[in-house]
Amino acid sequence: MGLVFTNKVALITGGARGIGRATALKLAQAGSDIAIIYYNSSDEAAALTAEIQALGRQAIAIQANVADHQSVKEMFAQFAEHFSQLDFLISNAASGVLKPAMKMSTKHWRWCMETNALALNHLVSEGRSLMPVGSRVVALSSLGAHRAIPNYAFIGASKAALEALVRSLSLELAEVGISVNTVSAGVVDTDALKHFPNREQLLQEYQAHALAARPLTPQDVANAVYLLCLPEAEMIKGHTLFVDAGYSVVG
Amino acid sequence: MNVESVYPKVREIIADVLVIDEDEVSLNSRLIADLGAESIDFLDLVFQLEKEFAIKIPRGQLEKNARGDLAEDQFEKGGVLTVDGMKALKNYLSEIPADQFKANMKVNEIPMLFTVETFCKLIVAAVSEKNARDTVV
Repeated sequence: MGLVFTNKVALITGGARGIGRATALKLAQAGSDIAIIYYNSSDEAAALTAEIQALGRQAIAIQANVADHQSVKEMFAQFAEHFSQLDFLISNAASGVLKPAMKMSTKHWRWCMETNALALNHLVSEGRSLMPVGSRVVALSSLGAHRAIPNYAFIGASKAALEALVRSLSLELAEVGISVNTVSAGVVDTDALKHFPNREQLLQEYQAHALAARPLTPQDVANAVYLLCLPEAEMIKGHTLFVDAGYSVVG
Repeated sequence: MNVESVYPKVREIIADVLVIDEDEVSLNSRLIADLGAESIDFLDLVFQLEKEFAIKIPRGQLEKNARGDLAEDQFEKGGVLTVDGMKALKNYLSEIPADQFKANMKVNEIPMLFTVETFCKLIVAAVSEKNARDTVV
């Protein structure tokens, strides 16, 4: 006992791998119980649940498609069977198609927008009644919301939409004492990055501009999410916090 | 449970995911070449099948099934299937005509081969594995 997040409950979408996984572990280590939401990572979700339970926390894994409102509704019904409140809603799941914008279809647009931006609205709409005063919503974004990155057009657009939605939700949820913020991560070498044909180049260019000698890790991003969940962060609302070792402000 | 018994539901789900008529889907349709499936459709398809049949299909399960007893480096080298790997794949994907397997095939090209029947077989295997597990417990 005596941990900062004792008796708190966190829900992390895309929680089985990469930054979501690091965030689940970070919040669990700080005392929080955890619900991991996964889409196609059942093995990883089961392994992480066991790892968190070994820390002495409660942990469950629920499968859902966050882009689908009905699926999010069903997910929260399962969540409510285990937990009576939700203190930290971390919207981390993301998916997309990596191609030049002019080669993309309406279907790709919808996939990116619904998975990466609309999902936050589904989560907040359905999770809201479980969230007490002082609870937090954190959405994970990327530099693509502000910058042109090759093949990233639709994902970038969806992240820009996500950050705008965060500001609006921040306004709407302030009334009920919930703070909503974005954490925008620099280039982190997770499974997601393996889908980029220019992965090596992205990592090298990132490292060349970042103000740090070491690469950015999922744990660094998880630490930023953790900071925004601390009681002391209560007055931070509608903000986009960059975790990129200064990359976005240099040069 | 066999391929014939799961096929009607699989066909319905595939048509639904790809937004095509069920009439366009047959047991030997190739998902990518014949039905126009893309990578995001496979994600959606697997999610829907997992829900419908209450099974888990972990990422890369088809490749893993095909690999069988072979170690990873016996199955592929630098992303290209070995001779043994190709033999194992042909053996596993027995529903697919031999002329579809081209020489020096890459691991990431395997999904090009998948037919509706491939998914039916995957489901039958996952369900029987689950039932076996449930019986033990």
